[in-house]
Amino acid sequence: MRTLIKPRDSVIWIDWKLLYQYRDLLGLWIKRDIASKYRQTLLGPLWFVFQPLMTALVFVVIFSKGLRLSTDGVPAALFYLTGLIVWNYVSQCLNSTSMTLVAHSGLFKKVFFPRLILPFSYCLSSLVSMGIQSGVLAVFYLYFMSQGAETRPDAVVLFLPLLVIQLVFLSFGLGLWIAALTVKYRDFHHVWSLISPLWLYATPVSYPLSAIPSDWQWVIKLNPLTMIVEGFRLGILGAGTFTMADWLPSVAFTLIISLSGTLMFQTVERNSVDSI
Amino acid sequence: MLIPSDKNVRVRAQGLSKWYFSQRKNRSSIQDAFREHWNRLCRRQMAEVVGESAKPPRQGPFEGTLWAVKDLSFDIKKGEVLGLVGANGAGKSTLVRLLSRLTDPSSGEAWVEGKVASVLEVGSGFHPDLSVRENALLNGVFLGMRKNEVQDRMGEILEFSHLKELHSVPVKKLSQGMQYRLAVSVALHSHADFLLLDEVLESADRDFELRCSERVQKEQERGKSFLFVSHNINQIMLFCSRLLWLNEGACKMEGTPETVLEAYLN
Repeated sequence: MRTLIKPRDSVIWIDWKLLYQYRDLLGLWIKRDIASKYRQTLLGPLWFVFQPLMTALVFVVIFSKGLRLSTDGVPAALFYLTGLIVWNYVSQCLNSTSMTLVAHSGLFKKVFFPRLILPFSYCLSSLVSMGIQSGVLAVFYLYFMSQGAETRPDAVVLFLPLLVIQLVFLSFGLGLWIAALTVKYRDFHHVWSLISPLWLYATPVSYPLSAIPSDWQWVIKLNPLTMIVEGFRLGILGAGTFTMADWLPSVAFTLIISLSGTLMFQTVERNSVDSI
Repeated sequence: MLIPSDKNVRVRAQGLSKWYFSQRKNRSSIQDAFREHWNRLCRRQMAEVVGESAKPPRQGPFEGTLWAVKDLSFDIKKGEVLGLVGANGAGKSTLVRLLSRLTDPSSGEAWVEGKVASVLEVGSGFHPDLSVRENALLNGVFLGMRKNEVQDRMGEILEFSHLKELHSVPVKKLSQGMQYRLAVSVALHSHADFLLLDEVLESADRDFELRCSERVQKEQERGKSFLFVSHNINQIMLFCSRLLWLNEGACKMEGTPETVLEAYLN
């Protein structure tokens, strides 16, 4: 095996061989990330349970009881919790992925390794908290079923693994874009903190897609997260709007965003090493 | 460019250069970026009117270029420890970063036969809350080893760094010197065929220094090569088999440690 050192090409492609060589780093970094989050916290993983519960409670009070928005005939708590699980994953991923280059600049300057492994491991380690939150949802589900709610899963639940994979790659790609832009222009960090809450309300988390007038549904469907959230709801709760014709464009968008984000991230990372 | 191969050579660099543009302002805000784009557009328009070439010379060095490493060609043989000496800012660290693949050369090429690993800073990637053993594992993987390869050598690593009893203690409880010993031990037990050490032994005590030199010698006999950067004359004499003296990014002198050091110190 020979290691070559030569001037850089203008576009840096994905070095699969190198990623494969460093595959053990992925698992170790996930472990490190999870361990570092819980050590020296009083409640540890319980924080992941409280956060969506509080938000869901606020949503129930404001949107369901206050504004009397529809929840597609599903118990409001289940409806909001399912959407929030998806949204929390995205926001947690984007927060950690987008700060990779800034938070670990020392490591990036001193140690050689395939850079993509760090952001990707953040996207995978966030799945752990998503799993914990799904457990909470399951508990509520059983409670509402024992209370006689008519909520049942739909056959779309079989798509759930695919939707989770799409969710991981969508967050990964967007996170890389934000990371690359933040390194170049620190302003982007502020731009992102403005966009993020707007994005939450452009996603059918606090309302169902069916509550939007059908003439305007296409606007919400432009958002790639819409179909993921609706798919989750239809699969788990049996109430939602999920069709192949709407889903496939969002899959295409996910592929484009994760590929372009990867190339962008690698190039910016390489350039930022050289800027003094 | 195709660089000829040689069976006894571990590293071969040919015309390796790295330059930075000191005049070009770093675009730090979106405002600056827009301004630069606007200026460039205006310049292009002007150039079309005047008939000049609008493109600034992007590929080559021009006025205001800062040479960090200038046209370096050298070989490191298998089993050799090449030492780098030179004043601050002579380009030692840039050369180390080039060979570690942390930055790309502006021109020229180099190849390394086999795997490369480098330690530029002790404790990069250490997590203070993780144990000695966990950090050693992570560090080894960062150096390009597989997880089970590090685990196989864990006993040796802990033995070498004299941290065997402390293997489950969080790294933050260790002294600075102990953390140094851990990081260097992992590096010296890595599978890399070419290991770069940039001023990492500066604060080692005499005992650890000698153990390292013994270990390096053993690895040399197996054909491993090293690049060693230090300001410590004793360590240079102890470790290096050949010296390269860098001055303003270029090679000023190359030869045995004795001859180069004599010229360098005077």
